[in-house]
Amino acid sequence: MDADALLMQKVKDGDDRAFDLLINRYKKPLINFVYRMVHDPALAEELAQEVFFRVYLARHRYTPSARFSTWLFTVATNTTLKHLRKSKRWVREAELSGDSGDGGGALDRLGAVSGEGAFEAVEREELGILVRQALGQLPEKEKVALTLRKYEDCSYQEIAEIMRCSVAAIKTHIHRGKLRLREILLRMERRLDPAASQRQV
Amino acid sequence: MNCEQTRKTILVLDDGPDPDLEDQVNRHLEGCEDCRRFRRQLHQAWEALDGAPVLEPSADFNRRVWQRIEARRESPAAGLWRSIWPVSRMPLAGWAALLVLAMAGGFLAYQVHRQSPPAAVQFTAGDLQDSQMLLELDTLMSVDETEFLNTFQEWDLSRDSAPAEEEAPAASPGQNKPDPVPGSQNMSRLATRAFSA
Repeated sequence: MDADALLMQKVKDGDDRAFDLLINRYKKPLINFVYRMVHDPALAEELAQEVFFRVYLARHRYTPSARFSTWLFTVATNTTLKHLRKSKRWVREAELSGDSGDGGGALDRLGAVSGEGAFEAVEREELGILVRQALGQLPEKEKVALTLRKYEDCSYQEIAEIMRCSVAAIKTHIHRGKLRLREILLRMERRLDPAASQRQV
Repeated sequence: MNCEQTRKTILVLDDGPDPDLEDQVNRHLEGCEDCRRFRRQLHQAWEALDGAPVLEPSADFNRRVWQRIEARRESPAAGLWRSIWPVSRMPLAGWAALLVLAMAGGFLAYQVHRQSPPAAVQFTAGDLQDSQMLLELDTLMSVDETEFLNTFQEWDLSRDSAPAEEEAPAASPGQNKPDPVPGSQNMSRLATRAFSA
């Protein structure tokens, strides 16, 4: 039994401090996971709190056969998607406004961001906006699968358990998501710098 | 391996290494600039996700989670009720449909109830008289009617129905023939009425 499962067992036995430890361990990844779905920091935090609340209410139903993180992200996925479907707050990001100023393509700039430059903060902020916009345009299943794979380092099997579908379906979602992400970023690049994209073609 | 197969294989190779497939892809990539660019862009897009903004939880995150839990603890009945009757889960349309059904049911029930119960049977004077006659007939029938009819004669219904004044002279004077069966004439009248009814 892993450490999380032990903590959850204590929570089941009435130890609230153990639940506090679990919150501390998972609140940051959980908030960011939700944030990548809803693109609203305040809402992401609120939904993450709702997830912990639900997990606490369902503590007696937890069985250590599944990893705690898998269970947690299953609850998080359901809670987030339910909220999105209910409120229809899909973030179809608006067209990029303004000129990037440096003339580089979106993908090139994304690839070059690891090198620290004088305008690191600006680059990072721009990168964040671009990625957020790109993720916002993905269909929900592809977005969930990509997010779990990329940010939570989940295996295909774990993602399949969280999303309640087959491993083959998860692979399909991730492959399509990657292709779509590439297309979205290329489209952004063409909008930002038509000349650069023409040079590539 | 053509370009389409190569691009599919590039995606598959991201799932896990496969030396044979990798060799085939590399052979294609050596002579295909488009597929090389495809692979580069695909990896750049994947790595770009590392640049997504990262949020830090607020300082009172845990406290707010516990506030929710405490609120539920203070009103467990509400939680129990919600689990039994998922009020919040039912959309407005559901409630509207339920209301319409309830109203329709109520209206139907009202209509059925409004229809007055079958009116009490009102007996007329004629009915009472008939009833009386039937009782009398029943009493008279206690005598073996068949034997009575065979012993005397066929009934002359027309005679029976004649007025009493005309009937009296028909009898021979001094022969005050007794009624063979008490009340038989009365009975014939009753029978006439009964058959003609």
